[in-house]
Amino acid sequence: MPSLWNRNKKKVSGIALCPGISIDESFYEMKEKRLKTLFMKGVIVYLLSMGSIGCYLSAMDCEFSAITLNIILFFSAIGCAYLYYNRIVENVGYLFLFAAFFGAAILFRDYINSGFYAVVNDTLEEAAIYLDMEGMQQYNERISNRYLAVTIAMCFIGIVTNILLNVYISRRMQYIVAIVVVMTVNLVPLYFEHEPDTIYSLMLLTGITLTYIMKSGQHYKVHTTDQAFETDKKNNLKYVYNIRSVRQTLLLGVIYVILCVSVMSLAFPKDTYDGSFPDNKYKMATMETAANLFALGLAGLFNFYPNTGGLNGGTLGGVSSIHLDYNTDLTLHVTPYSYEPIYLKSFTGAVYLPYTNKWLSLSEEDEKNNAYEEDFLEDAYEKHEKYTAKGYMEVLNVEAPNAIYLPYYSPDHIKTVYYGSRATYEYYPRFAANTEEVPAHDIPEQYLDIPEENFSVIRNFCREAGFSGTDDEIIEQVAAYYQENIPYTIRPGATPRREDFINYFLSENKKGYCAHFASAATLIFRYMGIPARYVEGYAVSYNQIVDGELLNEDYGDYYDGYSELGKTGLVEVNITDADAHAWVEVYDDRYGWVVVDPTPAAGEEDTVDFWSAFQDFFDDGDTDNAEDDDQGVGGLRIGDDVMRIVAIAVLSVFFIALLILGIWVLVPRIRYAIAYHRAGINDRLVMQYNRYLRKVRKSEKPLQDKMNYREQIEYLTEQGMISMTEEEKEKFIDTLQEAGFSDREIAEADYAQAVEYLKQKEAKDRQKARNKRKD
Amino acid sequence: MKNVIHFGRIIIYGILFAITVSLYGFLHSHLLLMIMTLMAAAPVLSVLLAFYLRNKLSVRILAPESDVLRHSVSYVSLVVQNPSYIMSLDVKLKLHVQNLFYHTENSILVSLPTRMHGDSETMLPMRLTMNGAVQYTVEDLRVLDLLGFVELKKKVNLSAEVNVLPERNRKEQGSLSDFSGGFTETEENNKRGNDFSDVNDVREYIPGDRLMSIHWKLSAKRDILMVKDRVSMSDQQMVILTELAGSIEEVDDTISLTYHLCRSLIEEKIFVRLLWWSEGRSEFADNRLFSIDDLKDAFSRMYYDTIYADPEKTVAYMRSIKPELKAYVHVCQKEGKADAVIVEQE
Repeated sequence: MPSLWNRNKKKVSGIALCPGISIDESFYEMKEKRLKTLFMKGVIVYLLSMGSIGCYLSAMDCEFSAITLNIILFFSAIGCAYLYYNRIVENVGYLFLFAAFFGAAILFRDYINSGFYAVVNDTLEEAAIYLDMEGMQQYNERISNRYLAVTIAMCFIGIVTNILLNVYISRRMQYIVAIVVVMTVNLVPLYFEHEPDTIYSLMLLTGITLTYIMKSGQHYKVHTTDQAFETDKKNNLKYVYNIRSVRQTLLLGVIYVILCVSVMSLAFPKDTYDGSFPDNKYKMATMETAANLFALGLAGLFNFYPNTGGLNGGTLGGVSSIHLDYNTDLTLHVTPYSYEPIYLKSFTGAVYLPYTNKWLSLSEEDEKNNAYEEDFLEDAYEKHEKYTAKGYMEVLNVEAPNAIYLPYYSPDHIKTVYYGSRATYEYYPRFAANTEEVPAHDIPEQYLDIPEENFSVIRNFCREAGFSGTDDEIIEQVAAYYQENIPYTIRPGATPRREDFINYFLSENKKGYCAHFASAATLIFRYMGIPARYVEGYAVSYNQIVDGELLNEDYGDYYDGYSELGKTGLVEVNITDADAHAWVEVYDDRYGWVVVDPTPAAGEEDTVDFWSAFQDFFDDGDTDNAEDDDQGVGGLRIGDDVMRIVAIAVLSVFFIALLILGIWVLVPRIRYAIAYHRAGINDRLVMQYNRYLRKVRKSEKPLQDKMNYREQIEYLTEQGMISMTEEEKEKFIDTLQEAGFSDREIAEADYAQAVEYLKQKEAKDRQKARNKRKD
Repeated sequence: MKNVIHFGRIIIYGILFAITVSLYGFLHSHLLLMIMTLMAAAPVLSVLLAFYLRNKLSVRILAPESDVLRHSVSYVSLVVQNPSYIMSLDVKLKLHVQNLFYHTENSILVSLPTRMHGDSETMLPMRLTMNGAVQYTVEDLRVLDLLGFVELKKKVNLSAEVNVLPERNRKEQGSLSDFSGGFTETEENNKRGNDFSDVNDVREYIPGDRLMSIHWKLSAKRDILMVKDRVSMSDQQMVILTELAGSIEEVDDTISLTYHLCRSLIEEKIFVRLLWWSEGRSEFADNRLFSIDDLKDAFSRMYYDTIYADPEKTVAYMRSIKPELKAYVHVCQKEGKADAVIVEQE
């Protein structure tokens, strides 16, 4: 039964040329320098994968850590190539690789997901600009730090590319597949007239060129045995792979590509190609289809519009960032009457489900109808009281979900605006100047409920913030606290699994967008004794209204009564996903349910470099605290955890290098020992002699030209490396020739004598060293 | 000498180039312009470099050992010398292998890497299982350009030769029936003090003659010392005629036995005359062997003769051309294997 080691070794036989003449099977004992050749294949794969990813990211202006990505892709490409060292390494290696990859993918899944989406979103943004689209539906990024997420995601995509390319390059040098894999995706930025960085272009082109040349050269195959030669059906001999030639080909390829690219770049600078050409009619013809494709994915090709309008119906969490979709969701015909935003209420949340991270409505009737307030204002209007008015808003659903978009305060709380249709809402606005109080009415006690799971966090938060005073004061304090301490960001990062949305926002993440602020504020107000509820809908600012298209200066049919703005007109306003919003309604004893918008104004997004982001990652993202500010003066500061990780990484690299070196040194010795153990007496002598000769040849260059035993032994005796008489010399040569060329076994005594001769030099060297030490 | 053009590869390359040009026309990208330029320039450069390289390349063929033993492994070294700074991933040498004695031959292509500015050497271990003069000839070299479009040929015609001699320790030594009998008698005679010679003449004693040569009986009759003038019989009895007739396997067997016999005799310090019928010259090749080197030289000459079909003619030729040889050892095929037969000529 063959051993595991030998199981895949193909038995080779000599090649018969004609009767009596054949190439001996020992021909196959010439070994390819597999580690080196695989290294070169790894380099080609690295050039292709890094070139491809680098081209895409640089063309799309995605920020990433180039050094990290290069290092990871280089080592993974080399590692993947080394999987073909032999069958055992391949089988075990792939298992290990997939296990490690799977484990790492699980560990970094959020980063991979988020980084990938970040790149996709950047692509969509570029598509939006180039294709002149109003807005794009973007993917949610769980991680706020795009730099880190993109780098990690691209590392993983790069490793996958390496694995894929390695299969086609290392085994079959399939340049067509390689070109398809690396070039197809890079046509996207080229379509948007974005050119990649030159360095990545060079890498990509060099990789493709080398793959093509290697394929054309026909010497690239990896066999189960690492023999240097193979035969075809006609018994022609073909060398398998030659490291020196490949190295020189690589050099030639690099020089050629650099030369060509340099000359052409001088003649036609890259800048002149950025959109300088008029688009041809064929490209123009594709733009509409491309726009649909980028906006809506494959569904866009079939005219399917799965737009959700940016509203989540009370569902929170699972979203790391807001991506502004500037597509028109609703078109509003309205008469401006106030400087305050116009809120269109679509969802009202009364009951918060902690950890499920969802707001539930009590009932449709109760949620969407501010009936008491509306009745009061309607009555006041009917009585022609001061600071009252009545208006009509026409809402056209362009691409928004089928829902009610109720203005404050409207009796039309059952009017759903379906996709593509319009609805007119009657409303009675309340002005700040109107101090008339709404008669008190009962409200459900749920509007004061705080889930048990949130209670302690809310309590601690309120205590720390020091909220106190009247309801108005508390509302102001909360808004002020938010403004000062909790930054608004459209990329706060997703709430981790098994975390509560509000707790995580208030106690850990401390940054967010409107849904965070409104949800938390709702519970805070409840804790402070103010009935409150969470509301989603659209908020249209005064500026937006002013920027709208004036339809008619005569707005008599749309508005009647007091207006803070005086005489205005009928305006058409396009409402997009960017206007989707969340706010709070609090119950005021005097005015009933009133809108409170606690969301602070947006600030500038922080940009961080990779390593600080990396540190941030290991420090749980807490880099904005005061301690950091105190210590961060005058230079680079790396946390202990990072240092520990760096140290482990360095040590790991060191030990891996040591291991590789050990294998490099030990494997040939072990293989020699195994072969020696298995060999007959003749082969043993030949092996020992060859080993001796290899050693001596390093210092004795002329010996390299001595081709046969006689010449070699004569040279060795002339140089005094082996001492023997003429007769002994003849016998030694005869013994060697018999051992090397004859089927008959040499005598034990002859073998022992021959080995003695070979040991003479070692003995002499030892003596020489001893003498030197004595001197 | 015609060069080979690989149209398939050119067509695929053309398709790829056409796709690139189309994409460039569609996208007007700088990157695609670079790719287009690379693709346009590469074939021209590749073919020009291949022409240049073909002119620069030279080949050496070496067989370090001129005499090798049958069934042993000898080496042939193929060296591609490249003084230029251009390399090729595929240079093929057409290697013609021929046994000049048996006229068996074959050609193979040996594909070698060719590094820039240096020699690329490959050693082929050849196992030679039949005697003869083996000639290795590199007939031409073929340089494949880097893109694999053309294979440019260059005439070389360089040779190296190796004489394959029968192995020293022959396991099946064939039948030595008659020869062994005769030879044992000779040895015995030597041991008894006889010198294995014949009386050529009887003459008067000359001082210095050996006592044992005195013909006592005749001396007594004539009353004068008479001695027997002896002539060595070695040149007659140690003549070996080898038969180069039959199939190549039979001849190989025969000459192996011949070699073994001759070598054994030479090692016993016995003078040997080796004869064979030279078909080309229509005469017996007559070789006097005093040493192993003489034996090797004789075999080297034998390998340039040709084998023939009729095994009977040499005995007749011996009788008519060399009648003075009263007896010789005839090494020939007998009952399907090589044998040494003592032939006495009347």
